[in-house]
This record gives sequence, structure tokens and C-alpha cells, in this order.
Amino acid sequence: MDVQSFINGVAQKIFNLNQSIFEIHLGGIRGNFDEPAYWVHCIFPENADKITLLCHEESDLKSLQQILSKSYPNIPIKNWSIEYSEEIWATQMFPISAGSPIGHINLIQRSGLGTFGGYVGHQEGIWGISNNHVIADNNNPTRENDILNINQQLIGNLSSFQSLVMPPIFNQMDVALFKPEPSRMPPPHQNWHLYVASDVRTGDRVVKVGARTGQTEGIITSVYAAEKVNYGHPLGILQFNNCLVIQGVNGSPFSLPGDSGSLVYRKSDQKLVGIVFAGGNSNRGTLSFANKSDVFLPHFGLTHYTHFLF
Amino acid sequence: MTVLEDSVHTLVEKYFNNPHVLGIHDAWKNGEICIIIQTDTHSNKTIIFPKEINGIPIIVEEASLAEAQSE
Repeated sequence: MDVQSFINGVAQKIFNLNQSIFEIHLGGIRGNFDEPAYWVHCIFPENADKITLLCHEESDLKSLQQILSKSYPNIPIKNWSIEYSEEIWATQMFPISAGSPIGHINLIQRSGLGTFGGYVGHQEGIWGISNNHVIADNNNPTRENDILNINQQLIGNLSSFQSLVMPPIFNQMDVALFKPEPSRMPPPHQNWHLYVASDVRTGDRVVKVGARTGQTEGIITSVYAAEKVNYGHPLGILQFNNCLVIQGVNGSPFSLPGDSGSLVYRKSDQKLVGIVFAGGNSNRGTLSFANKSDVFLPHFGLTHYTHFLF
Repeated sequence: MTVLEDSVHTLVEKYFNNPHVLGIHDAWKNGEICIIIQTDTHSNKTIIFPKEINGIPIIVEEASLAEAQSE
């Protein structure tokens, strides 16, 4: 039995054992991009929480045997041809979906929210990304820097942020990173994309998923935008340059308040081009403003990113 | 720096300290590159902007002050 057949069998039996499972993903790579592991990934419909079974090389099959003994009563585990499966363990995982509402504890307690953009990383770590004004409370990371979801559950802790600066200095990004809780790390089947400069142009079609408006499509209308943005008390009006301007298609807004932190991807090649941080109105309709990925990713030393569609 | 980028930069340096100017950026209009200067509703008749820079047309439009998009 080859690896894929084995995993398929395991998945099928788990499915049969638990009828509440409605979706199972198979195969994949887990960890910091190059740590191989085979896995079975089950999503439960009641609360969308996830359970992951990881099959490694180091230990025995006792855990899996317990799970599967009911459905494989006549097949001794030792008879299975599994070259790699010396270790099985179960980890309960609750990854954060891109587009989920999140915020710094101060923002959440003010009944505010922004958007979890997605997971980003490099060879030595994985972080969640959003805006400074969403997860660093506008340069004001007081208390314990807890990052919460809309249910006020802890999902991580603020890791780093680029400070927002007052005029006459221009900002180029409103970006911050948080370290996810271990149980909130990305799912094992997550595909990582190697960042390559996107060469974004006016007219490019883009997509994002945000906590307020969900998945929307837009068109890049500007790639050299300078904009004044109202951050409210205490920062006031800040200046940004080197931004993208995006307009929604079919008269719909690309983003609205609550969508801050959404990662923006070019539709044609899925490349990450920016992160939404502001919006406004003009004669042309609702405009969204995004910081460029080729500014904020190198700033934080990030080399990889996730895409909400994959 | 491209001519377009340089032109935006020049206009930003010249006009961005005016509180009625809210944004300056490149755009496509009627099939050609232009630069849009966004102003609040009270100023676009009182501030005189050039009609072009480096051969690139300048269009003035009314806009609202952009807001950070948390809620």
C-alpha cells in the first residue's frame, strides 16, 4: 500500500467513525515550508474547528490503532505496509481563516475590529499579518498585547509593528505582525507561496477577503498614490505615499470599515500585491487604499505568504 | 523613478501641505495616463492647479478624507 492509499484509507475510516465530519483533506506539507509530514485533516461542521492527525517517522501506531480499531478489526496494524509511520499523534488545531475579524485587545474591547490578512513567514517563523491600527492599537500596544478574535478568544500576541508617524513625514505602511498561539498556526495542508515582486500595474484585477465585505474583486487604479488618512484620536490625519488605489467592480466597494488588514492578491497569478488599510469616497465612487507588498514584506524580512483561496 | 512617479512626487511636494488637498495619484482616464488631485468640496475652485505636468494631464476631483478602515 502506498502512502496516498494509506492516507485515503485512514481518512475514509475516520469519516465513517464520525458522521459529523463533512470534509477531509489529504496529503500535504506541514511546518516551516520544508518539514515533511503526511496528514489527515478533518473539519467539523458545528463550529468549523479542525482536528489534524500527523503521521511522522519516529514512533508507533498506537494512537492511530485506537482510532481505527473499530473499522479495521481484522487487519493488524503491523501488517500494513507503511514505511514512514512510526509516529502518530493528534493535535487539535484551530487555524485562523483569512478574512476573520480580529483586533488588539484594546480595539476589541472598544467593540472595534479589523481583518486577519493571512499567515506570512520566512524559514524561521510564521506570523499573522494585519494593520498597526488593528493589532497594535495605533502605536499604542498597552496591556498584554493580546490579539483576540471576535469572540474575544486569544489567537496570538503582537510581535512587531511599523510605527505610524505624524506629518510632515510620510508613512509607507500600516502593518503589524502577531505570533499565533500554537493551536492557531496554519493548517498542515496550507500552501505557501514564495514572494516575488508583483510588478503591479494600473488595470490589474485583484481580490481580497475582508471581515466586513467578505471576498470582493477590484481594479488597481493607481500605483503611485499619496493620500491623507484620518486615524482619529490621538493620531489625527496621517500622510501616506507609494500606495495603491483600488476600486471595486460593478459599483460595489472593494473594502469598507472592518476590512483593514485584508491582503490583496492579483487575480491573474495570485501574487500578493498589498494590504488594505484605508478607504474613502470621490467623484468616482468608493476608493480603497493599500500598502504595497514590495514595501512591507521586505521591511519585515518576510519571504512567504498564504492565499485565502489555497 | 519614472516620469509619472516623478510628476506625482513633484505635485505632492508642492501641494500636499495644503489642508484642502487630500490625495494625489496617477490614474487612467479616457485611455490615457493622468494625475488626479483630490480636494475637499470647498477648495477645488479656489486653488489653481496646473493643467498638466511633464505632458501628463492633471484632473481635479472632489473627495472625502480617507479613513483608516477598522471599525
